[in-house]
Amino acid sequence: MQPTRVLPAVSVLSLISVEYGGWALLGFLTGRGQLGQFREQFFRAGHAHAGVLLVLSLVYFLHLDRTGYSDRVKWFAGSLLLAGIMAQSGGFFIHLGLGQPNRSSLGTVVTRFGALLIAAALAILAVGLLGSGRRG
Amino acid sequence: MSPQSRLVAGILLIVLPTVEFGGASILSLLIGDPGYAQNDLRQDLWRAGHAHAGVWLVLSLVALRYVDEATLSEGMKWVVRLAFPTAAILTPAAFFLSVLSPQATEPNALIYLAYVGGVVLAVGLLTLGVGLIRERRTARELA
Repeated sequence: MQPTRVLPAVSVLSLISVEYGGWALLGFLTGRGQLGQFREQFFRAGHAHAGVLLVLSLVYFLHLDRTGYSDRVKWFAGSLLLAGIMAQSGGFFIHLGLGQPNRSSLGTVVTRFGALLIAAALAILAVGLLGSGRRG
Repeated sequence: MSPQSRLVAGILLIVLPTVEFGGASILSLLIGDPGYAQNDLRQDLWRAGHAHAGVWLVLSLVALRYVDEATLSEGMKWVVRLAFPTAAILTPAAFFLSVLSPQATEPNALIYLAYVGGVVLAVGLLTLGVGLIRERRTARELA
């Protein structure tokens, strides 16, 4: 199994769940049930980050293919990125369920942790791209 | 990149400055129009329209890089090439046009276009996703 074939399919299909979240959010905004400002803010942040970061992951996999990494490293880096995206955007949803305004919660911790995973995955890609450029 | 995908990509890049123009319009409304700042629903939907137009057009451009590698018939490839940009027009159009009036307190019926756009995007995503997974299987069978 090639990581740069399987992982993009995972991202593309995950985007459908982001659409489902957007459908729910539109319902809240246009009056069918109210979330309140605090929850609405974090729902929007979770929805927007999930969508944009999954598009980033699709670009990421295109570039991952251009590095000289072995399939094992590609699996690791790509999975690290996807796990980071789930945690970073998922944390916002945990926060709107558990958190209080102006206070950190398990959700914001998960968001920060996810951001670190994303940063690590991006660093691995950057090193791989620079390395392959030197060899080529 | 196939010539077909390159053609669509070129059109998308030419369309993209309209998103910039929309962003500039919203910015000047936010700064200079007190009425706009008071209508929360209109702000929410226009911000959503601008954001979805930008992100979905970028997603369309990325999808074009993947569709040429997918195991799909040429007809299904065209479904993918057209579904993403069509959705990127329908959904933002719904967000903008459903609250054109500055006094709007609820969106008009055009908001349902947003759901149509969502379904069109889902069709594109599912088709592309399936095409990418099938590629893996045929590559293994050939090997």
